Amino acid sequence: MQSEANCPNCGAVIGTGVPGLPVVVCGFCNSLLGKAGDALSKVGEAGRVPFDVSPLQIGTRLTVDGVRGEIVGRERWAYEDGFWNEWLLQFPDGASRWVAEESGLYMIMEEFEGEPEEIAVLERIDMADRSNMGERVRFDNTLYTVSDMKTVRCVAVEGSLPHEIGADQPRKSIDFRTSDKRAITWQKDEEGHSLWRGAYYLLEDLSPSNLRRFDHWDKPGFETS
Amino acid sequence: MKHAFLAWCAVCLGLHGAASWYGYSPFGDGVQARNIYSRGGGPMHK
Amino acid sequence: MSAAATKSLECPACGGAIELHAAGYSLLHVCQYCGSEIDLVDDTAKLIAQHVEAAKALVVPLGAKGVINGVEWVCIGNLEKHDGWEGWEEFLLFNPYHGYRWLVLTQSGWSLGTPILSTPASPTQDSFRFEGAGMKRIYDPAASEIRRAIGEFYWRVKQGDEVVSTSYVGGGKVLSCEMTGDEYNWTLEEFASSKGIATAFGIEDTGQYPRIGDYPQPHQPNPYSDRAKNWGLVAGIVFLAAMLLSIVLSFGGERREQTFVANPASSARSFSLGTFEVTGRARPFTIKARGEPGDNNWMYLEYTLTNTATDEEIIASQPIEYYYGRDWKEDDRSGTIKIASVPAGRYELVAEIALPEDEVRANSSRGWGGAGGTGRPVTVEVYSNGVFYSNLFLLFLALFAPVLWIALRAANFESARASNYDGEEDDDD
Repeated sequence: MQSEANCPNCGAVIGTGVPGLPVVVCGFCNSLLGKAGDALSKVGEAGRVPFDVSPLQIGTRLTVDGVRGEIVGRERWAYEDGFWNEWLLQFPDGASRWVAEESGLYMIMEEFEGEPEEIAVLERIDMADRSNMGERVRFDNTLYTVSDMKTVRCVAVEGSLPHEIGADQPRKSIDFRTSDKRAITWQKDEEGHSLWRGAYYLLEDLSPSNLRRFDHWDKPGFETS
Repeated sequence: MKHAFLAWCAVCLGLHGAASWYGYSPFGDGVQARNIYSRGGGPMHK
Repeated sequence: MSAAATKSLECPACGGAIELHAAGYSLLHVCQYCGSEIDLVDDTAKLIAQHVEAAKALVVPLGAKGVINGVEWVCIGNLEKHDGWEGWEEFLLFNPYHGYRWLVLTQSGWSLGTPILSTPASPTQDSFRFEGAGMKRIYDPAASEIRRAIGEFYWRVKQGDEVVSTSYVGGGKVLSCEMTGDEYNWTLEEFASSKGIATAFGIEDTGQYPRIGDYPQPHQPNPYSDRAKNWGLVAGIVFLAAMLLSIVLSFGGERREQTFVANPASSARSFSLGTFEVTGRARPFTIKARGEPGDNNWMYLEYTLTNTATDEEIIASQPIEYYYGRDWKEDDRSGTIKIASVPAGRYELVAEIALPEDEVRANSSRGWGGAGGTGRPVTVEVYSNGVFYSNLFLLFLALFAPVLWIALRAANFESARASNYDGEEDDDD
């Protein structure tokens, strides 16, 4: 249950977001607010999430690997040739995953630690240019192919978030894919690197509930309650 | 189309059934001579 | 609480009204009124390229909604493509909860494509298994060009863009693989009836093979093969029933067998075969004869069936012959007479035998004498009922002629279908 407080920037009464997550967005003035105990302070701009027709929203519940979680926040990322959403999926035990959504495809990712040798390979690929596209890399006994390399920026956020994300802070992102819907993403910016592994899903395979409603669109048959 | 074929089968079966019932066939042998007089003996030809 | 589903904007080039249905996903919109390309990446409608093209009337207009297989879709984009042999159109359908589909309009009908997440196989393979069905390659990798794009797309599509694709068929479905660089995108295509699409989108029925087009689509169901099987089954059952009926109706007659001997030396030529009862209604009357006319010789049986009540006669003839040479033989020493529709009643059957010697004797003043005086035995089996197998044969032809016709149409359908596939050898066209 969220408690309420006043936004330090505009004074509006807002929910303080998910307890345990350090950052919350004021939806009225689009400020990024940090939480320290009960105190809120403005730490940045959240940007404005543009109009879109994503079926996910804060409050949507999804089941992944048999465990049901709830979406509590969103980051919108953009790059030269497109954009996508990443939704923060929070589980009852405090664990979380990101749901990356692009053009009707959903990739659910969790962070993991790579082996030092794997990191070394990734650093090398990162340094090179796009000539590494199609190169094969082995993680955990599985063969992945470099499928995408891009520089990405976070353009807007909403809800509760696990970190302070600087708007427009650029980050290098490399995607690796297998032939059976699994993927690994490597991200690196000036603060360090992170590795994510995930798999592609159809929305109907995640037993979604509390999906966003649209004018003139019936709710889908696979939405649960 | 399907009904036309079923109708056709029904017609064929009906015709065949009627023919079987009355012992009829277009390939039947024999010439019927409506003749109340006994023919007597001797070969037919010649 | 329901959110707006579309975003309205004005074409920066011509001012035409545009509705975006996949805002947040679409990167590009090509104005349907003037063809100008509008970039949507930065959440502003930025004009990339301005064109002045005539608006084109689309078979499925942008914004048209239709329900297919229980899910509603809105048409948001249209591509005109050409592979050097023929052209077709692809309509991009969208549903916020279900994602995207491709509705393809070819020269012989419609097809609905679903992007699939996984990679079923490598496009270098000519065959593989997918979801329990064997898939075999039907179109070798070939480039197709985008001649025109209208509407919203999730990638930056451009006129002149080319993509190489190869297709497979199996299990009543088509799998297509688009190869761009190192990326393979697989789409599972299913046949869509033109009537179904017309009903779904409220448009006119554009037709499908054989009404339009030169060949059926690879996954188009053969409308004749099921029918051929059903008709064959019905014809078979009807035929068996008729055969059973004929056989049952043929029970209950009187059967008698008798042997007599025709002797050229004697003058006895008329033999009584007895009296028979034809019961109930008109029946076939069966007379089987077997005789020994002598080598290279003949004899002629003439039966007279006389109704004892009305004296009406039925006459039938049976030749019995046996001729042979060094390496040929004509053996007609036995024969069956079946008289049709003998009315019910009591009948006397008499057989008159004519021998070749009788003719000679009649033609010449001198008698033949006792030459060749051995007796010619004849055995006659009479039955006062019977089955006309010739009727059954006629029935068989009548019942199975339409089945054969349908089966031929089914075969023609398949060969027309296969004529469009890429063969293993080079085609000279």
